[in-house]
Amino acid sequence: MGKEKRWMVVVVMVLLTVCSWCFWALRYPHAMAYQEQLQMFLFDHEYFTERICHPGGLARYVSEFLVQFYNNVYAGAFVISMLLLAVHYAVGVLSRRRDESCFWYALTLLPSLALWMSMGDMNVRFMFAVSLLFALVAMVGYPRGKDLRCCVSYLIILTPLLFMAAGPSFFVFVLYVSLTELTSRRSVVLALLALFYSVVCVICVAPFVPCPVYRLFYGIGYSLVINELPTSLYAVMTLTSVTPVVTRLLPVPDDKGKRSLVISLCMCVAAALLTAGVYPSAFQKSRYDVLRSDYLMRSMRWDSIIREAEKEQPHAPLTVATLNLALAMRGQLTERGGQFFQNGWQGAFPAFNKNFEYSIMTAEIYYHLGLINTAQRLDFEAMEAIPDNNKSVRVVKRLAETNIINGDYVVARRYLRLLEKTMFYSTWAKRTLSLVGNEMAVEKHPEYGYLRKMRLRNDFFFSEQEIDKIMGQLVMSNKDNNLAVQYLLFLPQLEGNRQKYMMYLDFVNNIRSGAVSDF
Amino acid sequence: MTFSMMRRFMLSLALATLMSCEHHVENAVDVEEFPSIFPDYIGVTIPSDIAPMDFDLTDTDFDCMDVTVKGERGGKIHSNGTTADFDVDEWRDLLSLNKGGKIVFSVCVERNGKWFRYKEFDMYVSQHDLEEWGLTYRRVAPGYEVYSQMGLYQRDLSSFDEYEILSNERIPGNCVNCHTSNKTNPDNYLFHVRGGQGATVLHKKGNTMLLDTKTSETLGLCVYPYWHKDGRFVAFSTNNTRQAFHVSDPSRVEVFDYDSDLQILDTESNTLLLSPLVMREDYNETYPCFSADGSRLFFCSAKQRDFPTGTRDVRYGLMAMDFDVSHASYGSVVDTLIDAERDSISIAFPKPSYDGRYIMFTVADYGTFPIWHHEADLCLLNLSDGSWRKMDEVNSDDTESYHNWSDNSRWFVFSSRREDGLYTRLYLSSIGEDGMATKPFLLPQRNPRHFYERMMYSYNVPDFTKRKVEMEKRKVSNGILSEQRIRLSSRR
Repeated sequence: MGKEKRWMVVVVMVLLTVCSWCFWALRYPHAMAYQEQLQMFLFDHEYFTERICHPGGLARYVSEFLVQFYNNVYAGAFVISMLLLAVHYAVGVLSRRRDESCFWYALTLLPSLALWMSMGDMNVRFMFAVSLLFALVAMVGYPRGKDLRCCVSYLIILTPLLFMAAGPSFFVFVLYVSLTELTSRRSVVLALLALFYSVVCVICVAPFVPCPVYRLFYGIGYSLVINELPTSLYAVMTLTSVTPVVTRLLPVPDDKGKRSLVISLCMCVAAALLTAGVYPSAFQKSRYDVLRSDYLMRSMRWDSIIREAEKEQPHAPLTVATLNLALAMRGQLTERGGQFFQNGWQGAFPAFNKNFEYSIMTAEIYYHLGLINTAQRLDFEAMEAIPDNNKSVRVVKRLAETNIINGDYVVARRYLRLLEKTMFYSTWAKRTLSLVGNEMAVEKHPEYGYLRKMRLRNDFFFSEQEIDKIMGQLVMSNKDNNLAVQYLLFLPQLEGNRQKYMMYLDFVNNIRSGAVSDF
Repeated sequence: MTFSMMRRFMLSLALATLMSCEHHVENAVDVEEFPSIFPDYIGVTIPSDIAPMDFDLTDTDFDCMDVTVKGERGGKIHSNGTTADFDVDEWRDLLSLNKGGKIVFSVCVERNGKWFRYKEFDMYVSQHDLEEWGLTYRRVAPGYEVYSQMGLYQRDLSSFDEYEILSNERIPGNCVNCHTSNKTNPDNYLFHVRGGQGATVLHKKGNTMLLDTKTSETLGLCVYPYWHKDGRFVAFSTNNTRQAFHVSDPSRVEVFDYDSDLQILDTESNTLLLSPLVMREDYNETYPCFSADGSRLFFCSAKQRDFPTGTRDVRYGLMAMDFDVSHASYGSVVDTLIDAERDSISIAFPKPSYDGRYIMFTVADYGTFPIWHHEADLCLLNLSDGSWRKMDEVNSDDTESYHNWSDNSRWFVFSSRREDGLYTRLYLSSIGEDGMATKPFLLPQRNPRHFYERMMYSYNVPDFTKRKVEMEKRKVSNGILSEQRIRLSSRR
């Protein structure tokens, strides 16, 4: 490889790393926050054994360990960019030609760029990327061109091991081996046997794994959609298998001067442009707008939510509901709510939906209003709605909080003890444990003490259809519940019912002056 | 070796490494109080065929715990580490040697290099064995409307081994519940599958059938099941159920039936036997069960109320009527065994003991589903004189709910939320000739504090099982995922 071409490789690698880091850290921190909350990595032996006993378990364990770092967006972006770089580097190593030509170097970018874009599907778990890397490591280790017995032994031993460690990404390895052997015309039988052996491995393992056989082919934990594998992942796997073989085989022009270097660079730019072209469909704006709303709401950046809404009006029920909460938290809901697109009552309190985002985002609204039981219920539902049966560190944290507010200290302690075993929530859990059972400390706590005071004093059944009455009851329970007051006065505005608005306004004025005792 | 066995092996290895500290007791200072242990096993009565009663100290501020267990009639075992963990074989030998007697625990704890010897405590070994292989139960998160991983499991009670019967990982998107065998005999069992692939899986005489239990003449699917002792009939309720959520009450969920009836399935003709006496329009009938001799059908019944306004007025009483096995027919009179309106209580889960002496049931202030009622308690009806009482010796300040008897009716298992008010755990207790129960003990686990703290699921619908339930999981789950169901007919 010439000096200039070596420089090209280094520059492309650095660009890939820097661009991906900036992309995730600066443009899509909410994507990482979303993934981070869909798991609760615990540092104990059960967590390891629960995962390791399933095909792909090691990849799942490693990926879940790494996803914890998404808690810090800069560290999380570093993890992703390093993985994309590792995939690219491994494909580059596998694609090395005997003549050391880098003419087709741009092709080695395709698997990592495709992987990057596939991660735009928020149902795709990081486990897939880790399992792909495992497969690539096995591919790099394959004794290509060496003694046939050596290759057969490697294949026989590594195929089942890789299946257990990485899951169905091991097909990437198997396909690569088959293509390598087929194109080298050394052993067609080995190529076919490799494919056959891989299917046998899956079928042999199937009786011992408590799930339908098809899930072994789709990968347990690759995607949140458990009954299918997203098409993008098929594309990434195929590209990863085929690219090294094709790159080794393609003819190279005789010109080894600057012209070929320029063409190589142009191909790299073309790969980047292709990725940019795919980007809008890979990262669907409407879905990521919801995740961003949730991210800002979770970190209580109310002003940011309002500022972003002023730039671009939210339309989805969840983003509208988040904006309304932000306005209420800043005391502007009644006055400014009408300036933004609204969605009826659904825009204030989205209806229950057996879906993680819906439940957890709606729970946030109820939590801040002081409807602690309802928030707790929706948080619990959110955790149970995670399709791959993971527990959610965010939900467990919130459950600990709601139980502290409700004075259910034994359950709260139990959740905090679990959080003590995590990396990023341990300090918070240890600190919060000091509140457990300490009524005085809870009462004085700026958040929990306040919300405890805001809770309802009397009991009834929750009804989404009577949410205005529930707001009225909240105001009755504590006339200082400004959030409830704003929502109470805002709901008639959403209906365009001026008479009701005036009635509720009178009620609020009277209750604050002590003239009314019932809603 | 299955993956669950592999997992158990790895867990045991990890635990063995974690638990060993091997410090020897020297110059121990006597402490005049019992050690504070979890679970509270002090003074409990256990069967001789139970797994080791491992325990932990309730606090973690210690270096090592040394436990010696001596049998009143001989035998001695020892544990030294961060948890009291006994060898299964040694434990079994000790208990068989001391059957009908007691074993004495001496606990020494090392704190900051100094040893403390706590007051010795006893555990009584009943002369009556469980005579059961283990327990079956459902493990599910204590949620509301959404469920993730859950399933039916069985536990060998003489060891710590747990096995899957069927988990919903095999049938994604569905839920499994109400695993019920006939008098703890797993040759006859059934369970329900709810969700897109709903069915009632009925296993009898080696055959497994998938039933669609909804008929045009009945309210809906078959719900709470109970086998007739002869194995031909199964009594079910069918319920039009809804749930609502309290906004501030500590009992978070209220489950209520708009309507419910009873029906008996004849498993030989796949026919539901119906009677207007248990399908009354203004009353809800639910939780059916047969008497020990099979001649009576017990059930709960309440006058229908408006929901949600009348929720707190719903009171289920305990009823009985005859059932003629030879003619497969209901009796003509419904007797009231306990008048709930009079006593201002509501009864659920009646379970007759198999010796015909008692009915154990759960009592709450109101409603049909006491699992979420913190005031719910176990009660015992003496069938010889009709008297009933709350079982204060086993009840706690929190929810006691589902329960079942061992085949010899000497032991019972029940679920309780006493540990933390939310996650349901299983307790076992025995019942004496005088009808009094012994202090219940939590289902033993290795390293129990860690186990129960980490377990994010509740145990519910526990029952004993005479032998391990053998089910061809792959075949059954494939059957469930298929569309093939046997449809039932009905007959009045």
